[in-house]
Amino acid sequence: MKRRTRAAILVAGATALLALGPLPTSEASPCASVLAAASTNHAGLVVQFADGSMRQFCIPFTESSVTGLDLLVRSGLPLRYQDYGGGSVAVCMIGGVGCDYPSKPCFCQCSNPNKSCRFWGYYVWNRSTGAWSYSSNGAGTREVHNGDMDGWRWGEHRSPNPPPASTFAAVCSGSSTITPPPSSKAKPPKTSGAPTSTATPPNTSETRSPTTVASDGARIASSTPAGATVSLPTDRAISAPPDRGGHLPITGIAVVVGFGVGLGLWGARRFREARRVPP
Amino acid sequence: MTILRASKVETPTFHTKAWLVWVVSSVAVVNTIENPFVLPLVFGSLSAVAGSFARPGPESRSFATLVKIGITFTVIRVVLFVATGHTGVTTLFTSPELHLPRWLGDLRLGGRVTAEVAIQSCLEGLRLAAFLACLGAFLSVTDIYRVLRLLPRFLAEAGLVVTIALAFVPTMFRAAAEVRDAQRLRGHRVRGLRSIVPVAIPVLASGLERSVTLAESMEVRGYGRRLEGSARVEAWARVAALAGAIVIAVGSSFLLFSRAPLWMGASICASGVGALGLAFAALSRVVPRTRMRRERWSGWDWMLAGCAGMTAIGAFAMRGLNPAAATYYPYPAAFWPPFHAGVVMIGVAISAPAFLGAARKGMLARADERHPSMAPKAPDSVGVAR
Repeated sequence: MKRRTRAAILVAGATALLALGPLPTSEASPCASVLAAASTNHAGLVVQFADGSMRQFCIPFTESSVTGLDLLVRSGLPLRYQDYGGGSVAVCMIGGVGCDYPSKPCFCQCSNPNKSCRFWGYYVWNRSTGAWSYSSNGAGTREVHNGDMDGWRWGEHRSPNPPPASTFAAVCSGSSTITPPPSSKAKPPKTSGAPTSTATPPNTSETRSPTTVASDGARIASSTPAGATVSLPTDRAISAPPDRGGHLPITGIAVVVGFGVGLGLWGARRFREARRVPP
Repeated sequence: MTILRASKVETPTFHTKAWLVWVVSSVAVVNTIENPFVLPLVFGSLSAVAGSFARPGPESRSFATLVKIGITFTVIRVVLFVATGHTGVTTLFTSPELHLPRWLGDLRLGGRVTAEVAIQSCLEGLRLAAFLACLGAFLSVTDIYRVLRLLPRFLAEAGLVVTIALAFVPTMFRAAAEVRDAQRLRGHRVRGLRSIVPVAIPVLASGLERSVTLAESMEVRGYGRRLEGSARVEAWARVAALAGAIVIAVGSSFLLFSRAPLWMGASICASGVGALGLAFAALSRVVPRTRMRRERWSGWDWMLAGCAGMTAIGAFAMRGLNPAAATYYPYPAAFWPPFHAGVVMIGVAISAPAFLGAARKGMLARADERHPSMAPKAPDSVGVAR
């Protein structure tokens, strides 16, 4: 029994250590590989911040579908979200606007029910009607396919308050607003025929063929009312949320494990001593 | 010689209320400090406390048992979360994916396994395990019957029922051990599942017998007895208690969901609390019950309560003033948790009872050496009722 106690404590310590186990120091974002491969699908992403400024992205992906959260992550905007497990998430902060979870609650501007309630509203673009509507799924479970578009807007959402009307064609038309993440590790794609310099952002020319987008966009544009295109978005300086973490805290781990294991073994020994005495 | 002498002096325990303060502050630490660095310290400290105040009975095993249950939960949680959640950017590996249909929850089993999901589920599981360990340590070191005696007088009967229910498990353990020993003496080899029948049937039979005896003895001692003519008082008190509870519910919904001014909800709540308090006082007056063998609150109990209170205040202060060091959330990209000396201090402070107990034991042992006959009676700090 006593040996088992000690074993349990050791297991607890080891699990805690495992939890802190080897983490890659570089945050290699998955879009690096996606960009390198021949990306066939595209989805639009429109983010409108508190001051009304907007960012638009045309995100390429090779999978048949990605989640709405993947789309946000691949946009390269700094992000904070709360994970509920099983794929459900609540987005708390995009590009420095919102609530810095976990230091604050994820819906930090909704704490007083009598006052306004501001959060990141999630909208999906309906291809057939060409309008935004509330997403019936969370960002973590919504499936985004080729030609879909997601919208995020910071503000009150008691009644629908989507980003300005837009179309997939407008967002993914190959204009200068198509700015997938400035991914640091992305290598220029090898699939393109023309050799490009490594300094070129990998996303502007090679990763999508303009013809596909154009035809795709034309098809969609035909089904949407004319004049639905959005006014040119104003680029906004993105402020990153406060920096977190850093290097491997060797001293901390040594101190904590030393104290924890020492106290645990002391307790196990005292336990054994106490139980040896007959009642 | 000295070793023999020292082992004679048991570690003196604390007042049950002091233990209560300690366990509440420990749970507060587990709840407020989410920095993973605190977890090994919490487990170590709780083990030190549970070990230092362990007694030979089966109750002292509850710490080890609950820790094991907590670790098992953690493992299950990690497996489930890793299988169903794929958020986070650090991919550990990719396994074959199974997309369940919508009527089965629309879950994606397998697929990308990320470090973030693994870390977060593991930490949440361990936090739950630490909470269970706090409870286990409390159950290991205190006498649960003394805890139940802290209930207000009118709840004494409910407390008695809970006491009996709680006594059921250790009694079962003891009865099972006795039966096993007896069967062994008779030459029966007790092993595994096959010996469930020769052990379980006598345990059940003795349990039934014991419950009948218990009911008879409760009857004889006047369980459920009230003072003469107290029925009307009691009925009114119950009505008042119900009304108070309803008023509190109304008041809190005013506070939470309406645009009415704050003082309105607060005053409604206060009147409800007042009605409830009056009802409880009236109910307590009709229960003829006094306490015997009260525990003595000594200076050491003050020290324990003070240490525990300071630990909890420190944890809350750290959460409020330095949330970045007190919290840890691996999403969206895992990072090393920040190391902070305050976390270490708070984690180690949970083991205060172990150190206080060791100091007190040392003092008692020295007093015992000087005047063996005059030594204060250590192990049971129970005095006669004043």
